[in-house]
Amino acid sequence: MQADLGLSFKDLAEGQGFEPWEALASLVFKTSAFDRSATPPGTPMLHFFHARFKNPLRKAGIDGVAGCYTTGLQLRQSVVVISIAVHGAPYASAAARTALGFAESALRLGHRIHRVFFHHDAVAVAGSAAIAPQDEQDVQAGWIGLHETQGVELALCIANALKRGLLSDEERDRYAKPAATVHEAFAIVGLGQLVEAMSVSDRFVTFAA
Amino acid sequence: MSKKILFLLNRAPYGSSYALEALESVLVAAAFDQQVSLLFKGAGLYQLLAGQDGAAVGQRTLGKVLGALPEYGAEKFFACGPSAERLGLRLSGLILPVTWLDHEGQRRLINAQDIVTG
Repeated sequence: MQADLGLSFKDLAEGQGFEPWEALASLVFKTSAFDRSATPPGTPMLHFFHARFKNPLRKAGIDGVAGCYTTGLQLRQSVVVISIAVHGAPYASAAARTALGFAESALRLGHRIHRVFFHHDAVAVAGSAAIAPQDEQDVQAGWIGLHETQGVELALCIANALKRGLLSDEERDRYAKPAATVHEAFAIVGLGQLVEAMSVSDRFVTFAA
Repeated sequence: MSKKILFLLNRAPYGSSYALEALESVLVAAAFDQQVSLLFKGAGLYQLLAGQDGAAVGQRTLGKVLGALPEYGAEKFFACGPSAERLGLRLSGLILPVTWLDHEGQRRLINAQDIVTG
């Protein structure tokens, strides 16, 4: 891609701040102003980027974004530390699916995911007894894969999890319930961990329901 | 590190659990010394109406939680003027002292944040 454009990835990265931004603008509540002012308006590269990729990316979804940039380019940009909040329930909302795609793309590009925080009905993605339909994407397996292969921290809001019957071994014992219901890849944490993630990350991206 | 965090609250207070659960995040962020702002938009404006009684629908009274926010250090409250006009809301007797913003004002508010979330 670099050869095609005659442009370095650094230019792209600086122009967009963090390149999935544009394609995601309609899907998420977007976050920090991280160096958006770094590129002067009217940079030719940025115009080219928009003209060439904006609409196709919107149609292709988030994985399409990563596909444009992965090969050989990920080591040339500065690493962005990202935390993600997911608000939408799996199946009822596209939030869990799009958030997973975003996380996978960010990691492929060499960025770091500090924490994924599941809030509201999104905690249901951690249910250890869930069985994904064979012809649908297994979003839970996707998150677990990121946890196991790349150490991505998966956090469930404790208040939201408990009232929806999502319990770790510890919470099962504490409340004397018959079973633990959360897959071990997910940790049940307090809201302080949400604020900590906001505090230490370069970017905090919310996938609303 | 203290960040400027804007919570965009656009859910009705009792139609789902979103409004109350979002407020829990607001409380914790404020308690951890973040620079918290709230923007009420759309059906979220109903959260601000005085005289709420959550007990009537078996829930906590969200307005009481809202009213406690200044004690936690959250003091910047904004509301969407065009939403109020569209919903025909009376603007007196709200639970929090809000600054009314048009769309341009909201754009500037959002632009000034480190984080925008729900």
